[in-house]
Amino acid sequence: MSHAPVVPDLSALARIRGVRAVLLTSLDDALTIASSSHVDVDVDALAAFATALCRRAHQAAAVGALGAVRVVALEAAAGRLLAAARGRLLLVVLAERDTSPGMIRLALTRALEGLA
Amino acid sequence: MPDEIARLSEAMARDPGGMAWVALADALRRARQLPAAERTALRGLARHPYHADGHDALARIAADAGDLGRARDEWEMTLRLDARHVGALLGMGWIALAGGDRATATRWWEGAQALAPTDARVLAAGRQFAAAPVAAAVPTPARHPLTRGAQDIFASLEDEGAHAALLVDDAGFVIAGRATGAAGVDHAHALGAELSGLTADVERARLQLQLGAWERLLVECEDGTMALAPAASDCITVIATPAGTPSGLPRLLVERARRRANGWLEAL
Repeated sequence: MSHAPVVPDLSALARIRGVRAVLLTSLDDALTIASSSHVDVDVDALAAFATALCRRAHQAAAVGALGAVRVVALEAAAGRLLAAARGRLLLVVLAERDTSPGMIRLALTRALEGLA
Repeated sequence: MPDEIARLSEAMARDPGGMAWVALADALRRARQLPAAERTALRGLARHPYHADGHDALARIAADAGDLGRARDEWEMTLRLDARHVGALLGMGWIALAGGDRATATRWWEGAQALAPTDARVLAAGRQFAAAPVAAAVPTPARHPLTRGAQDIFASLEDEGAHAALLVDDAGFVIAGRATGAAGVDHAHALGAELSGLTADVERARLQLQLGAWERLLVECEDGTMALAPAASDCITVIATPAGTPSGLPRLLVERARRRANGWLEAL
């Protein structure tokens, strides 16, 4: 008998060219559940700020009657932050600016699809 | 009041690492010396970033300065640090009342009242919340003059697939555009107020994660996508598209909205 994994395999995301960090956190407490990152990335800070951003995005989406938030993507001059939610779990990717957002988005949603 | 400020200033001079800065910041606020109050609070919070009363003091200063978005951020931070902070609970109530939401304001007040039923601040707020003319408290876009054409700058974007397009200032006030929901209700002002908090979180994230200047924020949801982009004069442009819109379209539309907003702002 096989079970769906509780924690997604982060390695496929971490191998995408330009990805600096991948982590799984909880929207409830912003604590890191699993991560794979470059040494210069503070994963706890990444989890905290990504969670805060997604919580606020959820509030704005509620006011805008847009339903549950699936993906949040911040594009900036020196990098990108993408986060995808499933239930109370949040999968976060920090990447270089020239990384394909479409590629990361696809990998993010696929990684969450197999979760329990 | 000047005596109190002088006394607290002396206390700070004697003990720079002490906590007199909280009372001093609040005394300066009450004396309407808001820039000095803000500097005092920010310097104190730089040394004590997890001090709930310090964030509460900064929230009051922001509220007195008319920056309700920042006030809410600081009161939310206060409540994260101390969920039983009566001042912050009342402050959140004031923010809700300023947005015309008396029901939410009352819920915040009830939270404060359950914790401190005899607190003079709670009793006074209860009377004021009950008497406040809600319609008069609804924020209006007073920061920027709405000139002729303000509601038309995003008009063609609706034909291109956007069901909401807004220009919002840094305090969350809507300057132009509209956001009409499925029931035909325009929730632009509520959305604008919410977005000021969202952009504050974007600023924090991009500073802490060293991402540089932000260009876009995309929020994909079950029933649509919202896209934000910074515009001139510390404003933001926002568009929303319905579910099923190709994922690249919101990025394109928000860029168009940003260009139109910047052109319109420059022409004011």
